Amino acid sequence: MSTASQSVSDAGPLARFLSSTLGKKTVMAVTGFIMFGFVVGHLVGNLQVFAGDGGVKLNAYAAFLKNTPALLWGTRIVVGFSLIAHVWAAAGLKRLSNEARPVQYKMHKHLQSTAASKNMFWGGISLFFYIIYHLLHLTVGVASPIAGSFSHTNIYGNMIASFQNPALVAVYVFAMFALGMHLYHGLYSLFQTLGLSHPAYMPRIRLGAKVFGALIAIGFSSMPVAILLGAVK
Amino acid sequence: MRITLNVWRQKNARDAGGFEKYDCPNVSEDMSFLEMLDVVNEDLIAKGRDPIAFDHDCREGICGMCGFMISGVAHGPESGTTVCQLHMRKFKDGDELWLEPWRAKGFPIIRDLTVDRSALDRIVASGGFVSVHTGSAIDGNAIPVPKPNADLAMDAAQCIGCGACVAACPNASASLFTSAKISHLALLPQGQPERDRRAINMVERMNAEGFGHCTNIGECEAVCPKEIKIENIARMNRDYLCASFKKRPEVKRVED
Amino acid sequence: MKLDAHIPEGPIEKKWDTHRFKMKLVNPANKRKFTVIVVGTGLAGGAAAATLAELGYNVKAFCFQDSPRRAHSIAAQGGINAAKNYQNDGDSIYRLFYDTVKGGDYRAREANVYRLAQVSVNIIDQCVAQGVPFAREYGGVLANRSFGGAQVSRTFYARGQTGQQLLIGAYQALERQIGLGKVQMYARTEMLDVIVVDGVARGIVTRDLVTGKVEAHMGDAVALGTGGYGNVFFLSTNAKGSNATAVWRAHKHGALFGNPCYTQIHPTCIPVSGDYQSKLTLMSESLRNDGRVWVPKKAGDTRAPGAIPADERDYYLERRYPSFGNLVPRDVASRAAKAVCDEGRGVGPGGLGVYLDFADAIKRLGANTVAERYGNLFQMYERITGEDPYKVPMRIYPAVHYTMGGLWVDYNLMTTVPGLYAIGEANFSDHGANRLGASALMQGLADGYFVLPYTIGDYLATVKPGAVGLDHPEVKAALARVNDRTAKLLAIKGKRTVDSFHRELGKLMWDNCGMGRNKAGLEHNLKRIPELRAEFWQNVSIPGTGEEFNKELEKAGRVADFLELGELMCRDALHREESCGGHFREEYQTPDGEAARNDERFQYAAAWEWKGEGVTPVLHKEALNFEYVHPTQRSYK
Repeated sequence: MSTASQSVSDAGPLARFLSSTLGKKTVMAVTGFIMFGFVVGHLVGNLQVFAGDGGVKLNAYAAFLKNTPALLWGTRIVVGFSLIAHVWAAAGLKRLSNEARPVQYKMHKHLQSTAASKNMFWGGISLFFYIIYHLLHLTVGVASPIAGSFSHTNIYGNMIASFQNPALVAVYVFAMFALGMHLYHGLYSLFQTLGLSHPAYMPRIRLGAKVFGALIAIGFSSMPVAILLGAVK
Repeated sequence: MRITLNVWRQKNARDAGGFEKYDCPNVSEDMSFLEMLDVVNEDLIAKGRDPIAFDHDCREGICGMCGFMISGVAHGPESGTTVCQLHMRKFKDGDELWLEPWRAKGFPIIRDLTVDRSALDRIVASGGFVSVHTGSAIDGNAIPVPKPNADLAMDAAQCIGCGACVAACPNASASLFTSAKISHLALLPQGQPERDRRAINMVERMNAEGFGHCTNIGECEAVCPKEIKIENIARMNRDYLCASFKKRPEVKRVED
Repeated sequence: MKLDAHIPEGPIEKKWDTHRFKMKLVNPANKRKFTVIVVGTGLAGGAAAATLAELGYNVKAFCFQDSPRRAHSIAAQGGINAAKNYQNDGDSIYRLFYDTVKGGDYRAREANVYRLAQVSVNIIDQCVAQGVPFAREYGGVLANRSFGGAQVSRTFYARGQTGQQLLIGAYQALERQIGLGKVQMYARTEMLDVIVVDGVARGIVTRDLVTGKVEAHMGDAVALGTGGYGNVFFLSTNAKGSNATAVWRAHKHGALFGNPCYTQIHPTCIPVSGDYQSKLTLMSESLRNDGRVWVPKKAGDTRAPGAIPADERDYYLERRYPSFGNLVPRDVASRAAKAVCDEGRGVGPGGLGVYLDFADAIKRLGANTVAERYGNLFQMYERITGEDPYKVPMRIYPAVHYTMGGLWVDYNLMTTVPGLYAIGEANFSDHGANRLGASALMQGLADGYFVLPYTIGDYLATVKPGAVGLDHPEVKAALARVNDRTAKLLAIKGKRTVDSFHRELGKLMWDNCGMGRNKAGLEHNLKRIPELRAEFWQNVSIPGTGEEFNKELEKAGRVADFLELGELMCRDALHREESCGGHFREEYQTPDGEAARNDERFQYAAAWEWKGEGVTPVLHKEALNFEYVHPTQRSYK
């Protein structure tokens, strides 16, 4: 007899966990948090562009990373894997939610959701393409506008050369705005997903997510903007 | 006052369905929304046409049978209220409203504004109970329950199973419903022995019924007629996570 | 026919134990060969279906709603009584028994009531174990309150939603058995006939409300937990779908109908606001603890309540009942409200309402305390009426709330048809002529969890499982009857809607068989209802077909039954030439206007036997003996 207690499939516990919506949500929360950590480190490192020393510190930092392959490749592997898992889980969940409402409403009002939360999917897609471009642009050095003049040692120079182009600066600023929004809902949401929430401190978590999202967006945007305006030469 | 209704009419699950427009010239502001529909229906019957089919029963906001979308909002514009308790004084003369059934794969349409919500029953059947046979209970006061826990459990247990949370969710997720039942029992000592099994079985049944996932945006909480909070979803997530990693293979019970 | 209640011998406190020992048992290995049909999934039906399945029987459960969780038990607000004596205030099983018999105005069967009081304590334990979140004290123990004028605090509650929480407890137990495959659940399915073969109940005929499919289901016993028939009145506090079809069809197959005229009218409901009114909403009578009831002294006084000075107000309950004041029992408060409205002193639209005023309570306790006690009720009132009860007095009026009558059952809850049981509000047994507050939930769960599962075994032990198959001619005849009736209803294609007939019947019943009844009014109804019924069968308009989801067809079948049951209620009310509990005959009252019982002539339960369409039903009497609680006149002066 098939009973409720035996309705759970016989697949292994991890496979079952990953096949459930909550399992995928957990993957998104954990990998999202890893990438958030990476973004913070990346920002702190890159802010050395403001050292006022013509890029000595920044280039030294880049050289240090290059000469410490365990750190560099360790980070690249973990973050790269996180990104893939994050996108995999998001795609799976998106497919489920599309299937869950096959016929759409003629009229559907949103009462409580924030702009950030409603745009997680499309914001995420934009960020995904942005990341590919960003890697080609400033890591591999094969994308315009500096494809020909890219230097693997003068990171500072690459940045100064690139961000004289207002259109490119606009793309970066827009992407960072999207990142800030994505982090705002993502950070808040991961507490809820992992069940680490409590009504007493949820408002503070929400505020903290907002502040972190904004700091990251402003911090990253400040660099191309400052270069464009000539504040950093 | 005068109200114009655009109502989703669909004869049965196979029919394509579409909106029909009805003019309601003499609506009293003291009517409930369903009483207004009663009047529309009386008129339709008098003209020999099929009345609008909508579910309803107690008409005092507790049975959970009624519910549809009114201009894009589950149970209409008044918060914490089912459509049977929504009164026409909340609308203005000349308003044009759009009535649609709950739309979700888990809620197939039966007719017009009526949907089949038996998926919610199956979620409960998969684990939303305490396995205690009649007669085997110990004295009620032998299980002390801290008052704050009893109150929190009651907050969650108030769920009327109307399905508005599913209807309002952009992903048609049944997380608020499922988590309310998991929370109700997880907050009480009586629910502890089966806490892990319950979380796993109910969450997996919810997924199997074709409901979407939760994106923690709170649309469900905003329309819930019993104002059940999404902190219950967090509790469900936590229970499911813990249970998933604690779980050992169960010794299967031998059925008679 | 001789009525035998099968009351066990012995002293009252031993009857149930003795009986349980003497009952035959079904061998555990044989239980799964038996199928029990349970119709209705409220407190009684849901609890019975779950418990019978736990015992090992196969159960088929039916409800007309879309889920078993929606039965109207869910709407009960106040609480559930149990003789736990947790408050150490002198409660006991005997006291609960005594109060219930007295409250029922000495028209209930003592042995049943005693058993009800006995099992009440098990109900609380069972519900707590299921996870019902009853209100608690800070120490973690269960909280109690005094309810409905009881002298002890024996009422357990879960906020104002006790019925909901108890029903969800039973529903969870039921869903567990559905998951285990022991209960087959048929939601959105309405029972339309009983299959009786050689005088024994063998199954039912149902209609699938979505597809219209008519089917027979066979069972070794049938239990009806289908609730009360208050919707005869059209406007009542019952759910819109609550109906008497199952019990009425059973009645037509030989189940006697007990005390149909006993109707409980609840005094604190929100008044009717217009012709479109579809139901009445009850507000907890706890409001009368602090609210003061009044009307203007002058008839036809249309001034705003605030503009009427104190000396032109009549606080009529305080005036007529100085010692109980606003807290007189439900029936007394209801009749008093009707009396002042009949004098033309009613307030609000149509003059059918009295004020329930919290101005003094707010002055005495402060608005905050009043909000703490009644905030949710005030909110509900404001939502429905659009008036703020903190500023303007509430308007209330009595409404039909509960029916004490129902199918006549013996001590085992079996009707006069062997194998057919009636449980919960669907039977007539425990409340006599008037039900006490917080006792309906107790009775429903007592029948479902703790009485029927035992007594049904005693019957099943004597029958062969599956004795009658689907191919029996009686089954085919029953299916044909149901199909013919549906076809007949659909073929009428008249001019009037089902609701218009129902409203007209409801008005006749409310005017002449409601709070006050008299010979002329009842005779008028006995003439008028058959005329209305005849018109219904010639002029009702039902759109659509029988092979689809057709709410008008569902309603039409139910109203057709109400049109017959209403007549029986009037006949019963006419024959009972006394006033007792919820039955007030204006000719039989004390000089100061109180109900006057006539124990010599009417100390019996009236059980009516159906004799066919248009034939006067036959009255059978079950004499009631009061060995323990001796009848006295109730007085609340």
